[in-house]
Amino acid sequence: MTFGELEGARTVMLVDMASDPSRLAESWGAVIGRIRQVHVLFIAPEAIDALSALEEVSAAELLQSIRHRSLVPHVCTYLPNERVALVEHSLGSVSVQTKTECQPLEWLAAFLCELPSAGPGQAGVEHASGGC
Amino acid sequence: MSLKLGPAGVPLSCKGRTIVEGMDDITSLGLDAMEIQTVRTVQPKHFDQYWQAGILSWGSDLEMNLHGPYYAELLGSKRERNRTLTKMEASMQAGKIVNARHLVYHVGPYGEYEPGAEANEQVVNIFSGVVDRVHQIWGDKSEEEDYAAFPWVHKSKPSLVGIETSGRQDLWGTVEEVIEVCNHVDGTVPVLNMAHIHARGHGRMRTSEDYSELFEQVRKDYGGKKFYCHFAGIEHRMGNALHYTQIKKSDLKFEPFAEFLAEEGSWLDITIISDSPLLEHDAMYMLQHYDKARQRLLEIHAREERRIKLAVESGMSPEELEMLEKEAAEARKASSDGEVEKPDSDKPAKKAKKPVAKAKGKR
Repeated sequence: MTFGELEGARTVMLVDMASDPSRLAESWGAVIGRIRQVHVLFIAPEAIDALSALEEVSAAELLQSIRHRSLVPHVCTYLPNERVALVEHSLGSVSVQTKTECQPLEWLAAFLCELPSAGPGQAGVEHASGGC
Repeated sequence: MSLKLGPAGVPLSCKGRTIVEGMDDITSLGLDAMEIQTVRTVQPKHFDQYWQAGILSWGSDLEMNLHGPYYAELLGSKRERNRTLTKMEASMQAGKIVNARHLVYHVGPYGEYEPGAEANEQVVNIFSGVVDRVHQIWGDKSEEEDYAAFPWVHKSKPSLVGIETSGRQDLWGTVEEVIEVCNHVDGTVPVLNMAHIHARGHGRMRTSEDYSELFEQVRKDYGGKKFYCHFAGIEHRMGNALHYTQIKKSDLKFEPFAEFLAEEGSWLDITIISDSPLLEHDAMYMLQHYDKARQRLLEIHAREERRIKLAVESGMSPEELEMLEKEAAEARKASSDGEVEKPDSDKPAKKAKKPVAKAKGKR
């Protein structure tokens, strides 16, 4: 998924569970191969445990560890049951409870809509994360 | 001077997704290097592609290189180190198959070490082992018959092991550390990641003199004329890289580097890999800027030659001609100032020509 920008294009990559879980390592390898071209990496909640096992870090540290290792500007997920959005970004971390319950992709859509106008700083990311 | 430019991976605009298709695209874009990303795992099915890529690169001028794991913990605990070395082993095998000229590796966080001699010694030990392993992989004579169709396995020199500079204060890999280790381990080369050097140095790469100083430092302390560099835009704060950006959006500009390469880079044999988010677009952007810088330099040289020729024709030394030109320029300036003040007067314009006419008259 890409969204246009005045200078170049920014890429959002969604990582969810592969239909064949045994191929997750392969698909994750493909994501990592392109990691420097990704601006927003969204990890579906159901993929978090499997990826933590692959990266050999705890689930709680996964987003931060991916962000530090790869320097992707935004690494995020949305936990629909808890209505919590977690975003690791260049200038810090954000954990926001959304006002309404929504599906992970709905949250991502709202986040992408808000992010360009909210700005890249901590307050901007926090504002964009509470969107849905 | 030899300059090779290329992207870190299959070009974004490539319709296919394989390395071979990527190589085709790179060649048609007028670029001549590629760095394959084996940043996480090397799947057995990739090896078919790698052989094809090796054959293609052997028969062409396209330089193949390979990047190892995207994250390393070589200074970590034994378990972390072994985990990294296992991933590196796969990329070493792939490097032979693809005829990689450089294998690029990170070292990772300092871990339990303090920056300094002890950490560097540990890195030296690890990379001595890595270089030995690369030589073992390439130099297996019992495999000669098996690899008869892949001549580079016997004819090419083993890949050089590149140690990349890092972009964060908590990661091993300042320019000085990398050079020190490379000086102690034959078969290793420093990989100058300009974005990382810029970020770690709080934005130090700003002018062509900064590049001149950096290359002079590496030449003096490490020696040689072969260089392998990465270039991309970068956002940084407090000496730490935050994230990569396209070159146009960063405070790390390519123009000064291009200027340095065009003006002072005649002794260099350099490969520059674009690892920007706009892979091949930024590689092309760099190529264009290098061409522009070279063109500008050629124009300056041509103007200089013309001046010398003119001076010889009119029986003057180039210095005399330069002095006369200066006088004429000053007179022109004075006349144009006068014109602004007195738009009706045409006297100053005539004055401007006087010194040249006088000088010619004397001879």
